[in-house]
Amino acid sequence: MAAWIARAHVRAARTDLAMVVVFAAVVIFTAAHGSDFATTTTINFGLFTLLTASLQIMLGFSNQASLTQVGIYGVGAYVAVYVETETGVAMPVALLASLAAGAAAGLLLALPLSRLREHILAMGTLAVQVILSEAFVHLTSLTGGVNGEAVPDALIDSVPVMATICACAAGVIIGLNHFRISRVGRRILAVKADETMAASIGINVRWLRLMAVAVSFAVAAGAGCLFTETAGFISPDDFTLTSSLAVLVAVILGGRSVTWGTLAGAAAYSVLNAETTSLPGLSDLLLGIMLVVVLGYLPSGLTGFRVPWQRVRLPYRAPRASGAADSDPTPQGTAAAAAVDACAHKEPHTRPRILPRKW
Amino acid sequence: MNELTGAVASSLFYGTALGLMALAFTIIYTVSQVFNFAVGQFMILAALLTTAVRFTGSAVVNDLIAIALVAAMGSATYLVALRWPERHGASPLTLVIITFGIGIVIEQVAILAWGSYPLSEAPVLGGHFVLNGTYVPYQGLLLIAAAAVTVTGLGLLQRHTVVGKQLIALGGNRATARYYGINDRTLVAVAWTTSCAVLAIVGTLYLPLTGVAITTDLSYGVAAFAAAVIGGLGNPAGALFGGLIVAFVTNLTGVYVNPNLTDLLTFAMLFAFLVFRPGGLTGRSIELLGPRA
Repeated sequence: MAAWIARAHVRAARTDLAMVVVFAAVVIFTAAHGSDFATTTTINFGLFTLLTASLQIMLGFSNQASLTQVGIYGVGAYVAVYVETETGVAMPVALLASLAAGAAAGLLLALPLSRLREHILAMGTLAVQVILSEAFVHLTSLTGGVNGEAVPDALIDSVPVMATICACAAGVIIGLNHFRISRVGRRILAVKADETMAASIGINVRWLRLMAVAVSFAVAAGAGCLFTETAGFISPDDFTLTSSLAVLVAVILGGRSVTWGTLAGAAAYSVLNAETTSLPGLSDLLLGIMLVVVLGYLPSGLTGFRVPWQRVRLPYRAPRASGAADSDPTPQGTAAAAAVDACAHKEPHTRPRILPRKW
Repeated sequence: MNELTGAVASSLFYGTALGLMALAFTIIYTVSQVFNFAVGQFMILAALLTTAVRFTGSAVVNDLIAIALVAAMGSATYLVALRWPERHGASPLTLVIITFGIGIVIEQVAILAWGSYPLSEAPVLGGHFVLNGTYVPYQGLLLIAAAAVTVTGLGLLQRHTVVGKQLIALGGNRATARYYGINDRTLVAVAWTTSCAVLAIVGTLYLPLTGVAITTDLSYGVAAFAAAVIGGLGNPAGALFGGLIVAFVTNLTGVYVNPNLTDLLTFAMLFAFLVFRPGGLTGRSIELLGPRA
């Protein structure tokens, strides 16, 4: 491993530590507080963080917007319940089954969807989400229909389950934090920055985009399995288009940062939801207002704006082109790194204004 | 035969409504490449507004007031919520999500104002005739006539007025159109006004047949999107055609196959069209696909 990559991992470890501290603090505070409401809120926060992180794999790494996340979360939940009721296996086995189901669904859907890009891709996944919602309601033999399905041996509002979920969420964010520095991570970021250029330097664009969808859906389905452990009861109302929209909003709201952005978006949404549980209409109204105001007028999200004197910092230091001792010798490595640099420096939401405002 | 006549009549009315909604979708899409997912909300809001101004005593006056209000709201929505992000380079995805947000705000405010239970709206034309044992309301025929007038009128306006031609130019290439001195701010606002006026026409004429419930907004919006894609995005005649196709598939499956399958089939069709034939049935080529890699 080149020395600069090692240094980048070490530097990223500071964020890992901060993530561990944040999640540990949340878990300890909730356990000390001891009320069911606090535990439920933290569980929802952990699950929502897993969902935003799963979407971050698609949107943040390969620029594929998805409105199917909560549908796949539902697939994971129903698969887990089905496996547990039919075979009576323990929860870790059900989790494996959910992960496999999510990855399979990802591979199956990514093949046709790979023809679409950007917001048209989002519309294609919207169709998939609606189809899944309908299937949850109408495939009564598998899903129990609108009456839902009871979960065997659920531990509602239990502190150990909450801690497990938060540990999983922290683990996924830490994984993403290091994945973006790894060789595959840099390649997929190059694909995000410019697909044609990435293909021209020998990166297998189609394969990377496919893998991003599969991994993302596997994480979402795994979150669904964890959800069944705490829910006691699942129904199609838990897996609607509006929830999928909320996940996408949380990711965009969080901003470009894979780590802090994911956390900030999920936390903002969870706090909003918890504060307005008694008035579900108000929660939706606030979601709508937040969407219009934040997405419209704060385009780089909660973690995206910089104070003027702050320097742009890359996740790693790119090798110098001429004669640095620890530079990666292959042209491919340098080009991919340059692509990631270009991506990191690009301000995606500010185009140079070529025309005066008034004519 | 009764069953078939009933299904065809209701499909015709529902299809015309969906087709007009898809047309409203298309008007905004051709000018600014934005999908407006608040179409269902604007449509139902118009119907709710007619119930609010019931005191005028005349259904026609109520409808005209509602259409004017919703049309004004359309341009206000664009200028307040979408103009600034669009000028500052927000991606199309962000703009689409913002329209979802606008829809949620309208829905929740409407629930606060009118409640979420269904209301009934007074039709302009009461009464019905009996065809083959099926009641066919005159209001439905009025809706079809209004759709014909709207589509023809908008087509003529687009081809024979300066504003219409400027809108076409904006849709072709906005930067070039601006170089030629076209005021895009005013014109996109005009497109939003037109689009919302069309939606208000649907809301005031179609919803008396079904009842007005604000909670059905998103399903109307998504069905209209399916109609617009199937008919061919950016093609007004295709939009109407797409609406009829979606409505006939929905209703005939519901009657003859399995009522549970209707939405599933519609969205499977939407998915297949998006993936395999993104230009829709009318086949106008649109740059929906990414670069081949």
